[in-house]
Amino acid sequence: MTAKETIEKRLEKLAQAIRPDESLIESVMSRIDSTSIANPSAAVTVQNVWRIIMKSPITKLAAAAVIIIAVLIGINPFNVSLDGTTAAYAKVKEAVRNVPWMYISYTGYMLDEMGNKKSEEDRTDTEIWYSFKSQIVIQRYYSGLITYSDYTNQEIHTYNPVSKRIVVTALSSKKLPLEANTPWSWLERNIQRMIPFGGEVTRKTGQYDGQEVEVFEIVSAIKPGMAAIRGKIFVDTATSLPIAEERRYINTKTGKPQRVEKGTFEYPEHGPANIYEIGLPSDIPMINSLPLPSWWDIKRVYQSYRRKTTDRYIAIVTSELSILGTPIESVDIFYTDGTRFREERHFMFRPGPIGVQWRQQAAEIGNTFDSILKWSQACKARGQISISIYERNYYHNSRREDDGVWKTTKQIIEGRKWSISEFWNSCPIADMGWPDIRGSADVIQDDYARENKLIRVEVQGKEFYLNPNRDYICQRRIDNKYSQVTDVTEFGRTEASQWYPKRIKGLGKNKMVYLETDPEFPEGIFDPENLPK
Amino acid sequence: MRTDAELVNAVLSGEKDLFAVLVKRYERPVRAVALDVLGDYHSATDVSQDAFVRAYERLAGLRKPEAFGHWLMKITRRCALDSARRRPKETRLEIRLRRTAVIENPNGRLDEDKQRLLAAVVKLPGAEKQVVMLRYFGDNSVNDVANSLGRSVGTVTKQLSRAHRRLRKILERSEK
Repeated sequence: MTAKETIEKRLEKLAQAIRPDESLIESVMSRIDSTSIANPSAAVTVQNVWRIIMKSPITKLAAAAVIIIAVLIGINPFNVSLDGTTAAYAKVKEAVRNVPWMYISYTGYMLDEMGNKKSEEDRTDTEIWYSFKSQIVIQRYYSGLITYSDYTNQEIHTYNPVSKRIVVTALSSKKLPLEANTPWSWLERNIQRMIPFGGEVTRKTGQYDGQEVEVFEIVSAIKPGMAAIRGKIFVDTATSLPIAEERRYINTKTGKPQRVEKGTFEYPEHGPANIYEIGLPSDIPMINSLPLPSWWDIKRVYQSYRRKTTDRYIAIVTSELSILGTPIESVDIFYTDGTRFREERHFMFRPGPIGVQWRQQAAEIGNTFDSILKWSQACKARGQISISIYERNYYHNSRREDDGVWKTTKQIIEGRKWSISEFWNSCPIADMGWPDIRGSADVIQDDYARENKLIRVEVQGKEFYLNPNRDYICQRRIDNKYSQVTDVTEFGRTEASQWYPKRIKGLGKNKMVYLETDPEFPEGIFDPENLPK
Repeated sequence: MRTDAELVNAVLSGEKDLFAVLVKRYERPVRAVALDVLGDYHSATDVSQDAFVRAYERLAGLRKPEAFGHWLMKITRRCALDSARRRPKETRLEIRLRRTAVIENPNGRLDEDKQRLLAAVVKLPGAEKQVVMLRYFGDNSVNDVANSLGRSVGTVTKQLSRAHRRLRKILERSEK
């Protein structure tokens, strides 16, 4: 190993010790959300915040709602902080908590100098369904565009009226607009955001659409470069819920209104269950464009399965040659009870033609766990046999060479203690199922991966196809350098429901795994005194 | 992949959620810097949070958005030093335990060899430190590092190779 390799390897090991911590991202973002700074640079200039709030219909709604709710709970949102003890506060809090869905229909348009509606081009009609409980926000725009955002499943379904299809993509945010996950946090956030704008609210009784209502009139403070807002909110006296809202944006230089926005509010029991229920024909195609998870995300799960060890087992791995009759070439057997480990290798053939030997061996060995185990204990293989036992810092080995003579060795390794994970890693099942995938990999799907619902990982000329439905076992691996393809063609499952590769088909050699995770160990199997001599 | 500078500008223009991308990119480098000062994972994680929040709050004051990573490391170091000053002193036994500990789990500490290497990484000049951090702690390819920093692959390769040489020298000196 060169010095350069050493430093790189050491850096890799150091990096492995500092594992990624996804929760840090959440903690940081949640602290940022809770900070009074709405935006790091624009916080000092309220106009910018205002622009951000007014940028999209949903945040416009939020801005309106904050005023609505704030007046409902009897505070002036512009200069008074929340008082959680008032009866009005509790009343509205309860009312809002019980709202399963909000349906809002908004229309907005520009006015000319005479106060008449300008062309339809400026019209911004929007319908919004908002469910805190289901974590769903649906918006239908005047253009025909529909977005159905499902925050639970982190998906957004977008209907494009031009291409006439629905595309499913990942949501960029984990939280509902304005980072609210409950109605109450939504209100509180809105109120906090409105406080810097300044203004006054007055309250009186009146009529809306023939119904007796409470009317809240809002006049915002005049700020340089900003339009003043004159708004009215109409609140149902029986339910304490807003039923409509009107806002006019006044040019502070001329004193004339420039823009009008009107909204009506409904509170249905149920909302649309999917994007088709907004009124789209069922034959509109839905295209899944969800991005693949990053290698880092996959690797964490993959490694957890890779490291998942079993502390008691007997495993048999037979290697077959891919020639006529697929004769078994060797048998490896692994025993462990969690503290002791026994590893056996039986080579089937002596040098020379194998035809006759194979026919004899096939009859002797059988093809079941019990028959192979029994056969191995009789040490009937015609080739070499090597049996090792590891316990604490001891290593014992008995080896039968081609001459048929057994040789034994014993070693004591100072400062060494064998671990269960070392045992598991010595057993080829671990590597056959979960090969060590090192370095920065790319996740790129191909037809084989898509058809078989696998995740394809590409790294340094090698391709790995992981099966997320089988404990991320690497179902296929391709080494492009040697044009070698290895497939797991059969899976097994332990009593603890762990998947493992049962049959592996590779270039020139197939392997078969027999695994027993609740075994009865043969008497004296871990006793070095019982090793063949 | 967006560069640091593009992400910083986007956050400053109101796309607050994109700060999460920067947090993800620098999460491990930042914890590594904090770990170098504080020596244990728990404190390092707490300080990392503080560092990211402080960076967010001061983002508007960052004159060169492309230098975000380097700037963030400085903030982290300052936060870590503040935290170290505030916490109670370790007993002799605790220090001894810490120095001899060889635990490598997220709740433990780094072994002595790794601590020495980390200290050497932190001592690297800014640009080299950043590429080493992103390459190894971010598990990025050289290409990814170049894309993140808006530098050419050639530049990043040279910086990495210089950093390796420098680290070898620092370690040789400290291991003598």
